[in-house]
Amino acid sequence: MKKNYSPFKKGILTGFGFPGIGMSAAMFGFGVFAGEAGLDLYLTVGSLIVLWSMPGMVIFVSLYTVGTPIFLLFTTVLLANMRQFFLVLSGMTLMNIHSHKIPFISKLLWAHLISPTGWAELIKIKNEFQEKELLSFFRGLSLALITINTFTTIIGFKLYDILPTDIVSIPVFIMPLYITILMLRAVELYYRVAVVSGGIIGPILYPYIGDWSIIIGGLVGGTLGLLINYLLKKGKSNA
Amino acid sequence: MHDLSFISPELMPWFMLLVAGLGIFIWRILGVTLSSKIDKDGLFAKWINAVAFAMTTGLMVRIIFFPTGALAQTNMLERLIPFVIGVIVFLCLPKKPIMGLLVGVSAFSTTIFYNQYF
Repeated sequence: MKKNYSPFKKGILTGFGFPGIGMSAAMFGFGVFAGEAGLDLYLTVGSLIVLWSMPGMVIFVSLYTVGTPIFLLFTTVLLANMRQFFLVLSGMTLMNIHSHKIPFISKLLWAHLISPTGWAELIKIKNEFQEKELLSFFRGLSLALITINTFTTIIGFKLYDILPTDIVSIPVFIMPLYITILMLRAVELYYRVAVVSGGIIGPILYPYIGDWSIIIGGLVGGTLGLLINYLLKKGKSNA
Repeated sequence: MHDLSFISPELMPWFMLLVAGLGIFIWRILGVTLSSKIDKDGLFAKWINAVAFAMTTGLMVRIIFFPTGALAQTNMLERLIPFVIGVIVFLCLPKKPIMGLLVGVSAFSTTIFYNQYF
């Protein structure tokens, strides 16, 4: 029998379930990476909480440890994280955040905690709860994700010189497969087209334009999805 | 070159972290601010969601093709074949998405353990 959990509790359970395991596996890998790079534990956990974005965290550790000038660090992180804009815009719209009477600073906090995992779970759950309940779900999810990810980052940091790298790669593999499967569960045709084209275009362009490939792949894939949907609908109405 | 000598060496890593954080936070502030102007059922909202879908998938597939950290120590085929197997299993059993994940991760783990110990 299916239990009816409150949105907050459902968020907590989701965060400690597969989504949390997948994301925290990647954070475990980050803990290993930061330990190898020579960061101290506080700065490692600090970068998790302050940045809450894997590309941003990896760039920070990579550039900080080689003594990159501050402006170059800022610019690289800025350019590599434009995708956050689209995720936040989409996530905030899904939760209809402006319908909630909360201060702007709270909205920023929830925006800060939107990651590909958090956003993908919002997409997955949006039809199970009413729109006004999605923020409550996201609060629970974020709380669980912060807890589990902090924990596994610390574990990864502590174990970096003990575990063979190959074994560490196993939990890290979970997140890309899990989120790709979540994306493929999209029902609407335009999302499916966007998923397939984004998954092809982004990696193909990556060797040539680096992190911009994800933005370009996203813009082209998303536009292509809506365009194909429009053309198919037009074809049907003409038939 | 900027003179940052006024910051004590102990605080310098944290200052650098805050600067990196600002690089991400700018996009998040922009996202929150602009989200109030969007009709959530309109075409633009659908486009934004479609872009986010495409970007997220692109990012995940990129991790398989161009990984960093521990995953980069494995061969491309060791990552790609289990990934494709997981996706195919999901497409065959769309009502049980967990099966795709389990089969894909099991295939990857088997490959890694085989290479490690045999």
